[in-house]
Amino acid sequence: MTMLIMEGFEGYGDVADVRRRHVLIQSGTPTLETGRYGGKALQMSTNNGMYLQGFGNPTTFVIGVAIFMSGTSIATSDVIRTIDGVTDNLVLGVYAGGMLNISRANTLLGVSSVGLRLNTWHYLELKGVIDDSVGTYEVRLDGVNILSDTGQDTDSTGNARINLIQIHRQSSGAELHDDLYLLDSAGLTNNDFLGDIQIQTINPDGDGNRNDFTRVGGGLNNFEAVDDGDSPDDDTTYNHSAVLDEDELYTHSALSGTFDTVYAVMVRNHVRKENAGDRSVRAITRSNVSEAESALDPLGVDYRYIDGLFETDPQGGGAWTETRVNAAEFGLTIEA
Amino acid sequence: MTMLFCEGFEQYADQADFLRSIWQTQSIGGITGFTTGRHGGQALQLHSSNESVAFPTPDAGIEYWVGVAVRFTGASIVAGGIINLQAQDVVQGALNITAAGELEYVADTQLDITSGLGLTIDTWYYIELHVLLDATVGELEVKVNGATQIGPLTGQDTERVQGPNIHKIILQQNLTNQPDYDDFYLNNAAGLTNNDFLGDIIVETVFPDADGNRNDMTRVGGGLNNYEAVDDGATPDDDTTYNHGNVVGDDELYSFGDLTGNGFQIDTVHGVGVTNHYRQAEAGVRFVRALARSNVTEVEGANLGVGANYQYNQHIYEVDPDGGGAWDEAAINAAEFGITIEG
Repeated sequence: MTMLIMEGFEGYGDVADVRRRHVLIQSGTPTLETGRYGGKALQMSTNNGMYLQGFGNPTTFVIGVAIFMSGTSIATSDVIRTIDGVTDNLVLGVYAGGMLNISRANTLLGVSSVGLRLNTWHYLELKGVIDDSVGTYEVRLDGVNILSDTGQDTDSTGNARINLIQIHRQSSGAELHDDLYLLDSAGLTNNDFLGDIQIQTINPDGDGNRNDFTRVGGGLNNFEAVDDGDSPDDDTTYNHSAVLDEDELYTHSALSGTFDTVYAVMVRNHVRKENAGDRSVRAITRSNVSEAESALDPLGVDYRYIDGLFETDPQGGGAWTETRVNAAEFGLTIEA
Repeated sequence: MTMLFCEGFEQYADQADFLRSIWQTQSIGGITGFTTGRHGGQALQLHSSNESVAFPTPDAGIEYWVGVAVRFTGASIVAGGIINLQAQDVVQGALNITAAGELEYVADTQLDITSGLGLTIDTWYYIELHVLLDATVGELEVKVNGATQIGPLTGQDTERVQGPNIHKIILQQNLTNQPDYDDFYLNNAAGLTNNDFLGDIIVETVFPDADGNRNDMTRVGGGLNNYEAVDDGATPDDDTTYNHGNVVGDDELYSFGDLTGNGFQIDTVHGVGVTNHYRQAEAGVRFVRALARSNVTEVEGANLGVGANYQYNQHIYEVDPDGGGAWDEAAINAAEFGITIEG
């Protein structure tokens, strides 16, 4: 159970909507553009950036992201910063000309011999072990190891951890980002490089096993009041409940394409609470007759996106298959 | 086995096509385009002072031989950089031309300058540079049209930046001479061949003219044979005509048009660079390898990553797979080249 974050940027209506899930550096204006295989991608340019946080304090991590640099040249900049508190640990950067470099804070550790090309989608992965003497790093570009070393000091703070990641910093060119994942090394699955992956978003298309909430607007069925697709309409159409343990489950559209492996299912709910008082939600997955719930997520009074990750099929506990994903139901439950 | 790359700039249609190669534009100016090459074909034009291109060295080494044909097309010779060696983003050394048409090499300081060379406009010169980076025992030699003009110097401080590496070779740095470049090669010091100056070379490009021993991929458009769907020559048509496979182990091999020497006798074949143009249609871990077949012997290149957009990648075969000796013209003309899919 080591998938920590997945992000395909598909479900967001606009950048303001992205900010309901991620902290974006406000300088400049990120935009949503067409994604790598359709869908959407987040474009960032000069002084933009996106933070990943709330993933604990792993010593070992793997991050993967599709990246597309456009323009007439690649500018020297940071691509991925891994941070402990406010201090950089491993930082993956790019030099003008496209070669990648990796450093610990401002100490250069290595430079790749091949690199990014302009106007080309690449899948970039970084695996790091944070340690002040036996740290390691490995950078893969489109599945190929292009930069790695062991026995390195990768730990700027002495804490052997990261707890914040910044995607993109100080590039003067526009960069698209898509199909992002973050892992740690715990558990038996999803604890090493995944390779070039695609994150596909599917939306509710029918009510499921239980729909305990009350629908406001949005048609005849609860699934029709779910904010999915373009910009959410927030309090115009929605499903609501104030009762503990009330659940919502929905069927959804089928995955499309050919799949070798389904690494995980992430259930993203768009939620807020109406009044003061502690309320939380958990994402639910129902596969055949087996259900699983994610960790507790407390609610605020403003809408935000909350993710629940399910790395295995609740029915049997094995890896997900395309068929099982398509037959499953997903939703949320109310907790205190 | 030390030829790292060769480039004749023959197959590129425009800047967008060029940027699919390992070359990357180094400044906001991009490139001017392509013009008729030194012996036919094409040459790269970098006609604005803010245009330059970078070749990333595949081994970040300390010793290289770089050869490239250069022609200055401006109204007069103006001082500027012809070949620039960089560590990370910092200059290690630069081969410059002065306003008088002399060549100088500058690391921390000017290490040497020619006297009486007097390069002029509208003339092709084949310029070769050998540099061994070191703070005390560095080496330097520059040849023009095969004749040594600087050095050979030994015991030099050729290492301007601490940490003796060269990460990229830059063509054109603040030149206003409107240079054209052609017939580029890059060697390092490893191995038993191609570890020294090659002299004035021609990089000739030949294209598929028939299907080869195996053509496992499925053709989309492009006539009756797979080779007809290969993007070669003019602007690639990308997803209009192509050959595709998603099965690991699927191979494509093609025969090629004969070498011509661009009108010159071929004395030596220093290497064969197989350049493939490819992309993947969906996410997943796939690699490709260049493939060469000579007589009945086949050799594959290293794994190359595949992205969602088309890219050019080259693998150098310095020796004939059939017997392991040097290539000759007849063996190349009879050989087949292509690509294989790896998982």
